[in-house]
Amino acid sequence: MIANAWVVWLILLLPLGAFLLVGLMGRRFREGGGYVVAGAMAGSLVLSLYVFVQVLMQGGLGGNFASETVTGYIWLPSIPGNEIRISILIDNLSSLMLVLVSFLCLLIFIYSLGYMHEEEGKPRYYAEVSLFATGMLGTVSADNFLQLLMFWEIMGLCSYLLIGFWYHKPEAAAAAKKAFLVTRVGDVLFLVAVLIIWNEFGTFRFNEIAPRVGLLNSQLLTLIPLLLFGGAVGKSAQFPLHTWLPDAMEGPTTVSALIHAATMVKAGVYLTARSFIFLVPLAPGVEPPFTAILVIAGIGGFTALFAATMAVVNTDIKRVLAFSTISQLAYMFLGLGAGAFLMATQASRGEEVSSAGYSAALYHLFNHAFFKALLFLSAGSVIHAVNTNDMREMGGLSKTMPITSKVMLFGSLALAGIAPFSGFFSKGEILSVTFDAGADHPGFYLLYAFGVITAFLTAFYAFRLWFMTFHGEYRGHEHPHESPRVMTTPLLILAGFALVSGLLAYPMQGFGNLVFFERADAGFPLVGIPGSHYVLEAFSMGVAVLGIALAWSIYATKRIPAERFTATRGRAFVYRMLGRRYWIDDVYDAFGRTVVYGIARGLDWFDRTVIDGVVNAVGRGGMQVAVQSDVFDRKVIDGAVNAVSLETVRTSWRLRQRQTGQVQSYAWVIVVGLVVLLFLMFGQRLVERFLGGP
Amino acid sequence: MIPLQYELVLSAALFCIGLYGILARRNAIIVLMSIEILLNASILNFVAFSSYSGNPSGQVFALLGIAVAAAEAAVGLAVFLSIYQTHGTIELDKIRILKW
Repeated sequence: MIANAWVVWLILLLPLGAFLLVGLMGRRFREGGGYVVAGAMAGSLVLSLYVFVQVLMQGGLGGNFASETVTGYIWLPSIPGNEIRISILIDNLSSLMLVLVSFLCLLIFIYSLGYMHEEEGKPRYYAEVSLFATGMLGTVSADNFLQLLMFWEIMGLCSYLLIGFWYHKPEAAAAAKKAFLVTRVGDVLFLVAVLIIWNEFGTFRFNEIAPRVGLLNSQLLTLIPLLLFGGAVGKSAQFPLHTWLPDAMEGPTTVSALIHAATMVKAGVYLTARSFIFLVPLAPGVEPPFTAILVIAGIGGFTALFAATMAVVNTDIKRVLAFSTISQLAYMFLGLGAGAFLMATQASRGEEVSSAGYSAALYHLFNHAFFKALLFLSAGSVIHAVNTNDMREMGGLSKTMPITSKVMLFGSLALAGIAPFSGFFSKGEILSVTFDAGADHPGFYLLYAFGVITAFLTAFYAFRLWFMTFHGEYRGHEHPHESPRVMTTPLLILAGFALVSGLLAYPMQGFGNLVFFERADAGFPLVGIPGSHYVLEAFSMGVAVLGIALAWSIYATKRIPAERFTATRGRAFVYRMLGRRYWIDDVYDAFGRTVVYGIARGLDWFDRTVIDGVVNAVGRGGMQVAVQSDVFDRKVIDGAVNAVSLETVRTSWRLRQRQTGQVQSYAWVIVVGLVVLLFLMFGQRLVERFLGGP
Repeated sequence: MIPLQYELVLSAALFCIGLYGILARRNAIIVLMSIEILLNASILNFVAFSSYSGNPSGQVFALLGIAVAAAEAAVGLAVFLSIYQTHGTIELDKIRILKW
């Protein structure tokens, strides 16, 4: 039992309240409500820690699973006992995510106090980031798929609003729309999955679905996790829906840090982790959906390499980091896929299962959150100083920005995966799991190769970025200066975590204990503690060192001239292809321009000619009827009335003519009338008298 | 005794003469005289039937009719005098103000 479990509501309500308060009357507060928002998030962090520590004491540390649902109010009434409630699930994973999200959001909010100090529209910014944080906290604490979807969409909305924060810039407005529309593709798939889940199970709750997954037929068992993964692909910017994330750099850097480190893109990984109830069914004898698992792992492995290659040539400091986010998220999906594959094979063989891949992916999520927030906020600090995103106009900044350059070095080492920085432990673990899965399916050896090449490229572009920014001579025209304390303090804290978050697994006896996927037949995963795989771990780190060495010799010592890589036509073509991001954005744009606009134009034509034509024809027909009716009214109805009156007048005229005023003509009338009367009275008798009657 | 038919034929002839005078003549005085003939034709009828049936009330009607004829002649001549003063004529077809 978790004591005072009701406080989890406050974790959500504090940032939501801050959103309402700052959104409605932010101008009355100092810094446009920045302190209010940060204070609310600090409250959420304290409460999250309170819950997390309890979960640790109860379950996590002993390799046990703590799970408790805080039942909320009935949102949609239904059959008693089956109402749809707003409820919060507290288990190992969600309590860890709550701490992670609220901690990073707090640091980013504090950093924003310095970074956004000179911006217009601060209340809008702080209200939106607070709602964004609410969305992510709600997503990771939802106890059912519907609630998860709702908060997921809140995040989608906030990402739109925040990427388009500088909405007067056309690129920012376009990037916001792109982010919203591209993630929407995934959201629709997610929605379909949620509808199928309701149709099949009559409930949205994870804990009620998990034991009944065996009731699904095999097609649906494959389809549901694939559709959920489709939502994750959109939200986490995996191939082929990755195009929105690099453009999302148009927002303020703090927003990028928020999207990349703590919220938004991590929601996709979280959702896929939650869909393990489908990927690895608990019920015995149910064939796991291997197709879905392979798709997840394949997309992960492919996207990791794909995004890393694009990061290598980009010169925009934030875009390089954006590509690295896509690549690192892809690692997580690779880890989840490989882990699910291993677990499913072991379960179907009746062996003891290992949740190593699951734990490794979430471990990477945890580590990545710190070092990516660090990298983005450092980049923000740099951009703040030199007023440009272009690395070609930087260089030599380690002299003027000593703190930023050192913390960014920490972040780059963590990203590259150099021991003892955090990236080493989780990335090595993911690669090891992928290698292990290769024993049962050779495709995983290919994905492992992808992962290793990606590790090389990651180290290369991370240090290319660092050397181009901080090494050599300054190439820009500004006067760089170190950022204020309010910005460097969060950076120092994050740098500390980039160093130690990987080592945290040791006192916890492996990270797997923290996130633990509950199964009766599960073994004890020692995730995060290299041991069994140290050859593989050393290999991936050696590859990373090679990458750093290459970056050093190209960008620092310039022993290898960079021009050599564009010397021949083939190499120049590759360079151009990577620079244009494999033309995928162009293809999507062309698709949108030709097909979507084509259909729209066709429909417009149909609307204008056919629909409007019918409407106009009906209108014209009505008019004709009205005209005819008018004619009928005037001619026939009025004609009849007029004719009657005219005839009355004429008749009266004619009768009037008989009134001559001549006495003798009146006398004639009298005489004739008298004769007629007499004839009528006596005529018959006269006729009988003279002609002989009957 | 003169048969009734003779008297009735005479009466009818007088009535027709009077009627003709009323309808056909233009002079108002002649029309007035024709009305006198018409009245006398009817009076003759009253008298004839009175003597034929031996009922004296017909003779009373005859006296009444003569009185009416005298009054009518007096009123009629006064009207014609008045018309002559206003219209300068007593030709009946010229007097046509009694109309629409």
